[in-house]
Amino acid sequence: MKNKKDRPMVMTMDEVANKTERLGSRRGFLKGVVVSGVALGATATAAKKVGDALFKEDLERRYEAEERMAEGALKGKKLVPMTSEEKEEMIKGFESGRT
Amino acid sequence: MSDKDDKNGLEGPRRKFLKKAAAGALGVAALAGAEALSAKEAEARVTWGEWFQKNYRLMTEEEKKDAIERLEQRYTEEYDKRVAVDGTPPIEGVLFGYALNIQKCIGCRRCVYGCVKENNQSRYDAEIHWIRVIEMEKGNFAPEQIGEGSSKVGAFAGEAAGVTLEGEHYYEHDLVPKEGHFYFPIACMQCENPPCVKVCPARTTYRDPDGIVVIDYNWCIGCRMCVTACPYWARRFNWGEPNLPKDEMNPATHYLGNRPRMKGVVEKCTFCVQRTRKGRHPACVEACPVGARKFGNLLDPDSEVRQVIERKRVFRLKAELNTYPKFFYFID
Repeated sequence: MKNKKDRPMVMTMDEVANKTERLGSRRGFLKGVVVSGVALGATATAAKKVGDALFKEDLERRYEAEERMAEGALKGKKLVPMTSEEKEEMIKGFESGRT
Repeated sequence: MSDKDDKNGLEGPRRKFLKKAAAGALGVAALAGAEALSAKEAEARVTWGEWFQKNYRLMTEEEKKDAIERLEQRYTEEYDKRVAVDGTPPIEGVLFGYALNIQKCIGCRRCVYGCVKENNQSRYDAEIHWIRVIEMEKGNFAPEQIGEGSSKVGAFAGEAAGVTLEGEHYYEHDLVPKEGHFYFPIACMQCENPPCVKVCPARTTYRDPDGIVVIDYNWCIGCRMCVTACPYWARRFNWGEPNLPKDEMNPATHYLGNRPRMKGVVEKCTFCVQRTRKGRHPACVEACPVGARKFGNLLDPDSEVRQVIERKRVFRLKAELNTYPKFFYFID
């Protein structure tokens, strides 16, 4: 059998005619469509599976990172009690819709 | 062939056959179309409608009704049960407030799980909790010291001595409360001056007249500006598709509250808007076994929460930021 490298670079007229016929025929066209469809579907499925697997791991890390940030944000904050004046003012503000 | 011939039944047999065949095919196609409309097309119409709906605040009553119907249809199909989406507006003359007795709280986290169940939060795989409970050593907390020994001069003026929030967020004990510790639950403070609302570029989060800060999930663009703007870190972002099992889904929902969320949107406590706007207590108040949680109308002088504010030693978290939180902590 001839190697791909050994084959001449120029196609003979017969080969061109054969290829044109193959591509031009309805069967050839349908075959091409089916093959392309299957290839496209398989690529998309594989890409989704890989993406899902990678992203899932990433998700956990993101949720965790957010928790750590929350922890940091709440650290070192003081709870300061309200004075009676503050309470009164706040209630007045609520009642008048001023706040 | 003339019209007269046709009427007399003199039409050719081939043409007659073709006519009947075409009519038959049309009938079959119509039937198939109707079938498809009831399934796939209806679903497509629902999704299409959702994509193009207005911001909830700007909708007319008619549009709100349509949006709610669309969601009910989608959720009912998705969760295999009759799901109701409520759109009850705020009650006039009501401003909701919350008070929590930190001396009573035992850190059992029943409120956390009651909230998850009630509000259809993601669970098991990626757990989202709207309430965070911090365990703190009692050494940090001395009720008798609160309000005393404050420095009232210079840059520290107004900064009274108080409790410092340094604690454990992820404690897991067989028994609570752990000796020498107290517990500090934190959720959305429903601020009167909410920083999260100010930064939202889509105006999808807003403060309703009853004081609840709500989110129209359909308009959330997932920019997370509100998450970072919240000084209490009370907002949660759905990094992935939430995991809400069909049999655990609470079918009594509110459009602005506990309806199922999607990946890429922010969520948070809404004081159980689906309950409270109908005169019920939030799920966490009902779940608390020690009665540490009080809820009510801040504009009603006889309400429990108002009584607490007037009579107890009350404090607010990060009050210095002027966010005017409506979530108060108190001690007896």
